[in-house]
Amino acid sequence: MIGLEFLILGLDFPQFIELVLKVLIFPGLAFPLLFAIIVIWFERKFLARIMLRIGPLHIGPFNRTGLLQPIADFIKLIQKEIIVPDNAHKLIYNLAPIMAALVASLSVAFIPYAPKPGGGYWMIFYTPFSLLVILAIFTARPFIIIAAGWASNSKYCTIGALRAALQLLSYEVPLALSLASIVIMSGTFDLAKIVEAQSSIWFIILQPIGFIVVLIGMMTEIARRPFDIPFAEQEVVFGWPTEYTGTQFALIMVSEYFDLCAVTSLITVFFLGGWSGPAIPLLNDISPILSGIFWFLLKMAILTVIIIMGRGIFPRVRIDQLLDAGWTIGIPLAILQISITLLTAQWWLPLVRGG
Amino acid sequence: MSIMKLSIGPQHPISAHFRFLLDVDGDVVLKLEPDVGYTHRGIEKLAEKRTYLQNLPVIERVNSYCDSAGTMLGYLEVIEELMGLEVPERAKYLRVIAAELNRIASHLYAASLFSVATGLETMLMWPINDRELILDLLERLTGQRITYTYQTIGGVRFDMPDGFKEEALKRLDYLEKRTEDYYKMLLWNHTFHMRTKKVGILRPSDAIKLGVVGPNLRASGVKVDVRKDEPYEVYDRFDFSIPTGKNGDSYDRLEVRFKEVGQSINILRQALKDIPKGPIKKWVPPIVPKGEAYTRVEAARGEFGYHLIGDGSMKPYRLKISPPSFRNLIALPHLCQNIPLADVPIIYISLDLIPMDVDR
Amino acid sequence: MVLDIIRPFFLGFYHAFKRTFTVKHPFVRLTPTERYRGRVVLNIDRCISCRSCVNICPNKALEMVKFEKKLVPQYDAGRCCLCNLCVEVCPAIALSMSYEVEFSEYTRKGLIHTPDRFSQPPKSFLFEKTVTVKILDKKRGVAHR
Ligand code: SF4
Ligand code: SF4
Repeated sequence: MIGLEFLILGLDFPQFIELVLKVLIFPGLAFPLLFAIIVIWFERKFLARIMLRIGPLHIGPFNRTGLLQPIADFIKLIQKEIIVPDNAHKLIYNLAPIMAALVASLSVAFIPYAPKPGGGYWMIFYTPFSLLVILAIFTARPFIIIAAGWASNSKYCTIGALRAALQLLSYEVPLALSLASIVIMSGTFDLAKIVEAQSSIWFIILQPIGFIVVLIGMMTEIARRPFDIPFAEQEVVFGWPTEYTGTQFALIMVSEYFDLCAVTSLITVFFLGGWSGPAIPLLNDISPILSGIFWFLLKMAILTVIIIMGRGIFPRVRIDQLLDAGWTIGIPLAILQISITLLTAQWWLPLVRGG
Repeated sequence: MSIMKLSIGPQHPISAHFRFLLDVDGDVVLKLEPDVGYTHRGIEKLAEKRTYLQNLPVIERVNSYCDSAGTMLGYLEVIEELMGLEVPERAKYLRVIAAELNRIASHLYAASLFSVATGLETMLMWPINDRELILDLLERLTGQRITYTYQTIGGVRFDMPDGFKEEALKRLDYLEKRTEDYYKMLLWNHTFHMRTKKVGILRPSDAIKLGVVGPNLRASGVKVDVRKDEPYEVYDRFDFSIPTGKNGDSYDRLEVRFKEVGQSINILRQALKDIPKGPIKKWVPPIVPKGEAYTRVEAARGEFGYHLIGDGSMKPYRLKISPPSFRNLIALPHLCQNIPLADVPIIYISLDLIPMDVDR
Repeated sequence: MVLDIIRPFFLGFYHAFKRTFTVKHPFVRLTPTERYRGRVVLNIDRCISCRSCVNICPNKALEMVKFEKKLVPQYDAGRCCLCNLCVEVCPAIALSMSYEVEFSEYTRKGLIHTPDRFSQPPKSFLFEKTVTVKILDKKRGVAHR
């Protein structure tokens, strides 16, 4: 791997600082955590607003906004006792939440957030095959879920885990197929190159069907309502994480929002032109990277609001309906998108690959 | 695959104070067995130990948090039938007003629970929010929000407060307008159709055979309503229709309830317009003569039957209550055969069962 | 079908910017309506010790005790269902319903109101921030339609 030899070779000091910044602050550790905290707060507040409630109120600065409520919840959760159910497989049970959080945050490492002025991209780990790596990471998730559900030794957990596995595995196909049409269009597996291919026109305009399939597929992958069947409260209590308590539960909750972060970043990269956008004067003066990041985050925020809206306005669909839709609507649509992409090559080629 | 025994409730997000035992094969429910009795309070026995007047707060707790006014009405009906008592006109109207307001509140509550069963929490909050308007009205009228003890033997306890009529009409107008939002958000929502249409179809013949009552029976297309068939109080003076469903599925059961809210608003408008002046209460002796009587009333959840045996004392010899939820419960195992697990909560909630009502 | 999917989006957004009408309870209180039935209050001077309230109470929340050489009812707030029967039956109009609703205690014993406590006027929250149903109605938009 190219990134790895970069690490083994000695780094000079600015490069080292840059690496630390990347790993610990921006796309790395702090960013998904901050994203999770802000999105949890925003989700609660926004959904409360839709439901004509107020939402979190007491904790935090500013007059009754409840800004620090997620942090307070987190502190409460880590104080709690970790309960391992009787007859659970201790090792897998304890390992699963950590793995879930790890895998969820892993995909962030491969996403380019902004170009650097002197060439290269603001990302932790550059490989020319980042799209494949990310698909591979997505494929790993069902196994963790099945492991957690099985290890809990509870009926609700097992049902939830099986549902999650069905849903995740079956939606990988339409997802991969519609990503294929993006690969066809941009001619590369490199996420950064995919963004650069969109410098004149975004793929959402060229591939609206693909966008819808990917949006729905991604929402299904991370189990957001209306596709939160694995967590369906009314049927299986809380699905596969039912038995988890305390810190482990916090990890699983956080991993969900890491997933949301990764998914919105990916859709931004695939369809919304990543960091492309007019330069912001003030930010651009400090560094052109910041301007790119700003546009990236703005697009992410819009996507996040749309994904969160789903929870406020749609009832949950049933598992057989969802799987049916995946095989009978999702895959045909994805194939339709591929054929459209192939048939109309002469029109989009000059736009995307610069003649 | 082997059959898994799954127990839902009594502590489960959807099942309230209630337990079902499911036989699950993969994702298919083969059999459902309701386990009643978790909230049994022995109200029928309690009623034998108290005087008729003391029974008022007890009886309305058969179905307390949804429809206490409608529940009470049946109890008073049966006593008054045994005594041969005629209550003042104004009291009759006030009783109907309280009962119909309560019916609206109950149906809104049912709708909100229904949408939670499908996983849409927004529609949990909206009807609950608007139910608050009705509860405020009832608070002004009766002094309480949930258990009113408003109607009493021989009339009602309080008269309408000043300005009640105008306020009520204003709120009913608002509610009628607000129902449009419900339709847009829930009843016309495509995902909601996917979940509820053709789920838990109760055919009219089955419904009659099983003895299902109330909106559930009407949703199957059977036009039965005690308010029309055997009018009590002053229901024969109002002009209203009985909404019925076509398919008898979960969606129809909810829609019938929404339409009934419209009809209740209709009745309330007429009642508030026609209400005569006069006394609201009649003095009644505390002793009920010897004899037997049976009456039925249409409460929000369906038909409440009361069978009273008086022995000429101040206390009832026997009071048998036949609540609608218990009669609708029979439909639950019937509907839950060979269905996906995800449909169980929807069918359960669509029948609008209240465990307290089932167990008494 | 597409309209049915898109419509809730707009409706949801529209409601997200609507004013909520929740009463922020500990900071603001809702004034009960005129007829609201809260805790029962006794007027000791008027009581003629006739026991009819004790007899009628369906939950045995009232009990006769000796207080300053007089038999007066004692009140167990934990058993009372606020049904108003005792107030109606009292021949001397010694009992009345107040609008006090917050009478929770940490122990069961604390809920028993001995006659001197029973006869105390309700805790007043008139000086705190309150809101009436009428004002709420305006916020809800009921008044405008
Ligand atoms: S209000 Fe009812 S329950 Fe309470 S003391 Fe009076 S009679 Fe008893
Ligand atoms: S009914 Fe009235 S007068 Fe008689 S004991 Fe009770 S409070 Fe006193």
